[in-house]
Amino acid sequence: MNITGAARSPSSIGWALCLAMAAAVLPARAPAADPVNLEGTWKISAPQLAFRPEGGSIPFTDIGRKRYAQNKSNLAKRAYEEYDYATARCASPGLPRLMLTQGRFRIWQRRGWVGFQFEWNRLAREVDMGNLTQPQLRVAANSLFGQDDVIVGRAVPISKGHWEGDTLVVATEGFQNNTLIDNLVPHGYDLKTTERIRLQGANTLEDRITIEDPRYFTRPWQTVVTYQRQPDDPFPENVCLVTRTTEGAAVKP
Amino acid sequence: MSKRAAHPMRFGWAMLAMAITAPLWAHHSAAGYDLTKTLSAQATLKEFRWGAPHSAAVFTIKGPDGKPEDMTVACGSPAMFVKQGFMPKDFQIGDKMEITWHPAISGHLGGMLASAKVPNGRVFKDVEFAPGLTPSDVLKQADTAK
Repeated sequence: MNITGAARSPSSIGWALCLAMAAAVLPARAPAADPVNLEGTWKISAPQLAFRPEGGSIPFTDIGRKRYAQNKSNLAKRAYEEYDYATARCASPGLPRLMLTQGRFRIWQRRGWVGFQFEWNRLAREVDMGNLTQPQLRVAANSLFGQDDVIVGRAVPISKGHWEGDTLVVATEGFQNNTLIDNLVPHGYDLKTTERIRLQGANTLEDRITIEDPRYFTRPWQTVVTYQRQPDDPFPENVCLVTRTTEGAAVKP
Repeated sequence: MSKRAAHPMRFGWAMLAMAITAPLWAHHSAAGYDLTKTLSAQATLKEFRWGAPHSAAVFTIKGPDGKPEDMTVACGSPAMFVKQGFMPKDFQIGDKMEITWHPAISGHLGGMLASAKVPNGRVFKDVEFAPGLTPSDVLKQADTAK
């Protein structure tokens, strides 16, 4: 699955490399101050291409419903290049779609940050727990607009996280508009997600995601995804552009 | 070293310099576009790939046979848009806008974006390759149009 053009940002690649090196060198050890240790290797409990909204349906605005219908029509024609650059170009699927990955992912919980290392296409995401030294890729436009705006969003922005009891709360904004929420649902620049990630038991992880974008949805909506703990085996190389056989056929983000 | 003996070395240095500078020059060149011609169309924005030093946009326009056709145009970096008061949010997928562009000399549909009138009526103008205008001229025009 994928995002803008075939390009992954240098930051993303850098983080993937850092996580890979950490995987090779560091023992798994969450900071003692964190209330829960989420570290380990995880895989979605039941493969799914789309998020299942709680309450049964997604509260689309007219614009959202129109683009959703267009996407469904293009899916029926397998015209991925028209709407799904992850499938068509092996670009990053972006968030929150990345959390539907059918491959495994590993959580790294360290002082000041939580990292997600994905098996598929060696993607990574990072959660700033208040001590991340790498600055968000913001372009300070103070001199132009008197505000600190994100000029160009990202498929996988750096998230902000904090603990609420045993739950890791992760807020993400600053998106591009050319990824999808799942395999069909569109979003715009104003997408905001809030994830509440917690253990349901020793071997089950729950991610409750709230999705907001006033241009595409009339109100925030929620979905829940669960993951099962996996053995901490190394991830084999899994590069989308290499492994897919025909357009879209072998793309399983 | 004799004068004659120096020639191959000079030639070598010259070739090296050209090899280094040619890709840089070519990268920012507008040689692929006919800046003496400006075409216009009513267009629907399909995709905007923001990037530096150049972004690219895909517009759907009515083709010569009346059928919709996708056209890719090169355009400026995000900073160029910001200097004229435009943010990515001003270019939403599905927005209908009036655009002008300098066509590709290859004859293929597409080229370099010259201007775009977004749905709220504001006009972005390219300042990098606007024929006969300096970037400051275009920025002054943009200020006047605000």
